[in-house]
Amino acid sequence: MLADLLLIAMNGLVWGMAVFLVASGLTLIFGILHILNFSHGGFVMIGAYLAFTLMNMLAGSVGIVAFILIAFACAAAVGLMGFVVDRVVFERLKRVDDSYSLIATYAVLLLCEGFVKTAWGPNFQSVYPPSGLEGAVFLGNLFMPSYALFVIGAGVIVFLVLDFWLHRTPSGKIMKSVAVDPWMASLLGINVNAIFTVAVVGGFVLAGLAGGLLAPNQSLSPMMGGVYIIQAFGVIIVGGIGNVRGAFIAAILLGLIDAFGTVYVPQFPGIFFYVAVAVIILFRPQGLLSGIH
Amino acid sequence: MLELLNVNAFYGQSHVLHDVSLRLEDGAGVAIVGLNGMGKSTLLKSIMGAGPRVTGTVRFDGQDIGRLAPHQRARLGLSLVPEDRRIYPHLTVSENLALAGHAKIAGRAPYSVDEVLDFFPLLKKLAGRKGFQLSGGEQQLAAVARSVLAKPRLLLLDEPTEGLAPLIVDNMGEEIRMLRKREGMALLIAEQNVDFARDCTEHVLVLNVGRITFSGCWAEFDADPGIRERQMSL
Repeated sequence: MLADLLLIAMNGLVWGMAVFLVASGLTLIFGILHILNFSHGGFVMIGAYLAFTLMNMLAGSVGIVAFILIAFACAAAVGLMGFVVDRVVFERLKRVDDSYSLIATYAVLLLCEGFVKTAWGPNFQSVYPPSGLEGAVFLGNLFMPSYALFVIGAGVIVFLVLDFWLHRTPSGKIMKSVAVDPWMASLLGINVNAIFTVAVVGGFVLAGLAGGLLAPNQSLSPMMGGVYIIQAFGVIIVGGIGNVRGAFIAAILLGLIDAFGTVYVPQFPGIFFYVAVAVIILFRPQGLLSGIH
Repeated sequence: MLELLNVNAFYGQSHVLHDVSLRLEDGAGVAIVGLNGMGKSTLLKSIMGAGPRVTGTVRFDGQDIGRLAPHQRARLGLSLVPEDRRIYPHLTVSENLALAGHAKIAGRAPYSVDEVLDFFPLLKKLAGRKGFQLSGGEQQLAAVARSVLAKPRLLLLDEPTEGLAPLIVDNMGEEIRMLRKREGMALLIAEQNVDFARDCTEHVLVLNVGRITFSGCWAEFDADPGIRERQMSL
């Protein structure tokens, strides 16, 4: 009984950390630029497809270290795309109404899907976990796939690094100051546009990293960008939009609710995520935490 | 040092400043007085490039700075303390001050945070407090302290004494006079408190509905009580 509960909880955590990996970059960009980036899921998808290609090039002999390095390479490549998107799209969105940023970033998502269809074709692809993570381990009498544990670890590490950076380092504090009051920051000699660019590139790096790390978790298709973005939006709205800590807490919470809901009410798989988002927003429209943290 | 030629400033459709021209010599101290809504804040923000749409010429040391971003103007040696202070709530007083190090001026070493705290004894014991824990007066003092850290060549202060206790006003006045003398800092100050403005500056401008309607030294301003009556209804 206890083992069953633990297993469900662990499944919830895996789901939560996977979604947090996706949501972290989304919430970072919103927290600093106040732009809701619909294309974020598209870049997670590109990251996953890049990982697919790189792992195929290594022909099946990818170890854990190589796998992580591949994820970093995907992060770097998508970060570079972020620089271009910032120059071409986001730069123009700062001076216009919010609704334009939804339209523009949705258009970028469509471009991502078109790019993936052109480069990798419309068919489903799959990526095997790296060697060393394809098995499973016993935790007491709990049987967990090693790759699932890896995803949990990756989510926690990304959260800790981001949180430490935003709260404890000088560059993180500058980032937060620009988020809180960009006008005053510019009076103090801070090049606010440069900081915005760093935030966008950072958000895209996180998207690429999420794509690379999560590639083995699912079948890759040109539609996966849109699927990811819905769950990630739910997590950042519940967490308090723009708030990294909030997103982390919300990802765990929603992951657990969805996992337990699906087990105990199997007639409605997947609906508990949406119900939980709706109920939480009803009682805390500003999200669990507010402001950028 | 600072020269404005036929400066007009707009917020959307509203035309706030009308053909304002003025010159500020190196190290000079000028007060802008006038009622609320006459364009004092808009004038300071126009000089900094931080808000209104501006036409006309703004020169600093002979260089046309009209197209420069606020952070570039800050790095040339202009420093604005806005009326609403804008101390960062999530940072300590020391961290707030340190942030101004980004406005470091080429060839001019900024003050260290400790040096600035030494200038403002009331602030020194609050150095580790977060911005949100400060009273309005303490925030104002911190905002002025922050604005001088980079050793600006021209300080733009917007209503620095508004809502402050007399003790804090005196302290701030002393520090501003001392810094002006020590660094040859020029000062342009928008102020309703005429006594405070007189203590900190030598010249005075009256701004009335977006136009400069009087410009002279304080002796001339005081010699004609009609100026106050007509322009400012004080």
